[in-house]
Amino acid sequence: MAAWSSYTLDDFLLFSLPTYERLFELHNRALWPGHLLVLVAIVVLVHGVLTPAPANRTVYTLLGVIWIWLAGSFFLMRLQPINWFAVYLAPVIALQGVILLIYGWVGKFQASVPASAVGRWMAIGLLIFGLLGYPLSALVLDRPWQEMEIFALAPDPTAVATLAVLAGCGRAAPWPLWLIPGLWCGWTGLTLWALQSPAFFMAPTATVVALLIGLAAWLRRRTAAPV
Amino acid sequence: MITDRRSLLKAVVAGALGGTAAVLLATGARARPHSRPVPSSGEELPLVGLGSWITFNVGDDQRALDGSAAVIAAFFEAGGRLIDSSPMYASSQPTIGYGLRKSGYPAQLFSAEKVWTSSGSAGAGQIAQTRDHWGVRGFDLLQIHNLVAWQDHLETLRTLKAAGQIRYIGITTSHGRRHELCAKIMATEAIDFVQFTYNMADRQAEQRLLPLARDRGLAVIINRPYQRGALIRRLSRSPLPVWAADTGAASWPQFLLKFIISHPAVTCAIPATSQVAHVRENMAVATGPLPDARLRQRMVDYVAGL
Ligand SMILES: NC(=O)c1ccc[n+]([C@@H]2O[C@H](COP(=O)([O-])OP(=O)(O)OC[C@H]3O[C@@H](n4cnc5c(N)ncnc54)[C@H](OP(=O)(O)O)[C@@H]3O)[C@@H](O)[C@H]2O)c1
Repeated sequence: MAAWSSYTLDDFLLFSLPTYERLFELHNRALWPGHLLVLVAIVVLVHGVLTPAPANRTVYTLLGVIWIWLAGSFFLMRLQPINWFAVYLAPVIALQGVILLIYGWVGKFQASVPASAVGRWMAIGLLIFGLLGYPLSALVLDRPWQEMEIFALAPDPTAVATLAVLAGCGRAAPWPLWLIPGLWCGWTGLTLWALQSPAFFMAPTATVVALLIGLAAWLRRRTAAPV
Repeated sequence: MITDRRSLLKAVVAGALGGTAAVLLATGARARPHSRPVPSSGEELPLVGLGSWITFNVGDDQRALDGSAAVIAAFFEAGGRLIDSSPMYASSQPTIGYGLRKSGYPAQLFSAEKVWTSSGSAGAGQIAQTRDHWGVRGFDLLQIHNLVAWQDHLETLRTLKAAGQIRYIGITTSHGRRHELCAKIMATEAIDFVQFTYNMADRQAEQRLLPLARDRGLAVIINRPYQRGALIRRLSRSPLPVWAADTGAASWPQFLLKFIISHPAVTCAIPATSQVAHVRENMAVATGPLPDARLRQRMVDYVAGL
């Protein structure tokens, strides 16, 4: 048998679905009452996105800090004990934080074309899904509420909310910012699929929606005169 | 298990007495599992052991750690000996260490570990770390996981064996991969154990590896007896044959395991489980009757017809 053709996704699993899901309960317990701080971050983020002149620098700086925090708190401290590969994932996640911070500081937000009204509202919908829908999905999927995956504490809702911001909450962002959150959503989708979780489609679908909004904004930019 | 000099002595005595007798001494008289000898020493090993991939990788979740410790305790209680793990299985090694501490490091333990690193020079360091995770001073069996850097690791293992830090050397593969190389090593190198996949849905090993292991006098550990549970899930949609009782099996998992351990070249199969009820069910397979060649063929035909 040819060695590589005999591998399936299943062969790369190191943990079971109950172990992975319970990780979030342990994480939430360990970080409480840090959730109150997350609430403040959510208010800042939503306010920054919804104000008539989006506070891009604040939003991107906040997201940058959150990605760097995730690299340490979730990937190194929480995931690594059951997945040695997390040691390699953590720097990539931190890199996304650095890219977001740099963009927040030096991005030329005024030079880009804003998303259309439809695109903007779709992106806001996606953001709400990342911030609210993701944690609530635990209840829909019959998981204990303690296992909620929460923005800024867990990677999937954070990646989805980030993609929503990149897609059009402010103005569609340059593609290098999309790479890591998009890849993470694909990775997590494949992992959950191999673990036979009914939630496997959520992050990849959110990525596709974000890409479509971003693509529409990019097409607008190509046809519109620079603002 | 080699925890100290006394247990080393016990292990030697166990080898001399025959493992089953030693297990009886260690755990009291119950229905003990059938065993087969390790060809290179004559030491008896129960036909069913315990795997640890995924099931024991629970991190620092105290509830799951206690659950795993209960599985390990039930395994020993049923007369089990061989526990298999690897540095690849993340926190499974510390989980086993936790379970062993809770069980008081029973003398019957037969510790089967692996070295898994592409760097030959990193092998000894990795094995030392594995010892710390288990909380033991040495291992009964050290295997080269998936034949990774096997030449370098073989040298390291020979040195450790000569120094009395391990008792047996082995190699592993799975999923039917690299049988060519596996057979080459089995035929040419001085090893004691070989581990590969063999189950009712993957009988490739019957062609070459199982007969070769017999010819070369190697103990055989069978991994993935249930194809990580998929085989049980698939077959459970169909009824067990009425004659399953003749094989000694009362459920599909038992039917599958009976088939594997009744192959005369198999020393031990190592199903993994996170559940006490399942480890008991699996261990019970080693206590009842075993199907003969004719019944084994009937088992194959029945499953093929489903
Ligand atoms: N290359 C290598 O060296 C290599 C490769 C693969 C495997 N291995 C070794 O072989 C061991 C066994 O293989 P494996 O873990 O891949 O798979 P396996 O033992 O074929 O299957 C394990 C699965 O079967 C289920 N199970 C066990 N007993 C059961 C029972 N009585 N009734 C119903 N379900 C039962 C377990 O679920 P529950 O937790 O719900 O019981 C678990 O999900 C591994 O753990 C590892 O130690 C070595």
